[in-house]
Amino acid sequence: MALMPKRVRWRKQQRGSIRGIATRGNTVAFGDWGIQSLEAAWLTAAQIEAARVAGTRRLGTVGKLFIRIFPHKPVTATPAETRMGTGKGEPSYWAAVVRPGTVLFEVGGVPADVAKLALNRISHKLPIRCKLLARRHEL
Amino acid sequence: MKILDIPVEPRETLGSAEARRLRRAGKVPCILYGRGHDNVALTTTRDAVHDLLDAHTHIIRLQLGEVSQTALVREMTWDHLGEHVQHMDFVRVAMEDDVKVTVPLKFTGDPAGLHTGGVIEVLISDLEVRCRVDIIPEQIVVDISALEIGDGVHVDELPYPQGVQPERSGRDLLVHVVLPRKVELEEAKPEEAVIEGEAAPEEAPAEGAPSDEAASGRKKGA
Repeated sequence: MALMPKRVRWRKQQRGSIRGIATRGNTVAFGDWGIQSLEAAWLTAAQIEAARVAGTRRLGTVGKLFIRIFPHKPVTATPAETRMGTGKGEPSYWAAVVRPGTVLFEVGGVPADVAKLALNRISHKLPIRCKLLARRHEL
Repeated sequence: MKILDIPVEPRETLGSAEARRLRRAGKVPCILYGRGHDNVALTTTRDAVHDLLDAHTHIIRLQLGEVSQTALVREMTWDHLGEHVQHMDFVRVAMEDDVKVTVPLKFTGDPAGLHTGGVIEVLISDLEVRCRVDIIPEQIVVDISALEIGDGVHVDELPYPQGVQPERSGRDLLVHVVLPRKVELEEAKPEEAVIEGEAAPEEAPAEGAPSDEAASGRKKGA
């Protein structure tokens, strides 16, 4: 099932602009391997779901997949052939705001080669360039 | 115990612009503090930092000309992609000092529960311990070959070297073998998000909010 918030304060949001880099959520925190965004983008709930399904199919019953992003942002759209005016469109889909450096998915509990294959499948479902990232042990 | 020598140079000019200039020149700004002495702004090379990361050692010897100082890495600041070290904090230590350090855990063995359909779930992969500087372990090896489905290893069950004390509660779970969750692949119909305010339509209007009558009256008048 595609991700979306259970409850929101306001149905519509302004679009905003994606500025800067990821200063939080930019390290592998739950699994052993992860993929990191190299670009700024809105990832739709459908894209996240497609990536999750691709990763889960590759992993099968072994290991664990962590989704590190959530589509909090409602994106509105105006229907086709609508005259100018009549106000803002209705919510069309939900998107996650991703900055360069954000860790998108993580995999744990599997050997490195299996994790890399699963994350490679996931990256093919996403509209942005990604980078494979290993967990960093602190000194 | 390995002690790595890191060559450092004093940093004359401070500030973010100078730090950026140093990074462009392949250097890493760092600082040394602790034990009641003054802070010293230093710089080292990126190659030395790579050596430090490859060595997986906690304790280092900073070589400032002919002077050397034993130190621990207190903090490393990375860039947003985790590729380059932006800044390092070193803290002065003596070999007999008690310090708190983070030690990686190495899980070895093939758990018995894996052959009966279980999966390993690692909950904690680095452990904070307190010990003397001269006995800091490089890693703590945990044998998980005897784990069946539902079994786990807790913090107090680890084979700590003498003089090493964990900082976490002894009942914290490090790793366990669990049954895999059912794989969810089917597509479900999307549901509507609940909008606050619309969720409770019977509620009385807030104080100061225009009533329906007042609103309709304004419309008629217009």
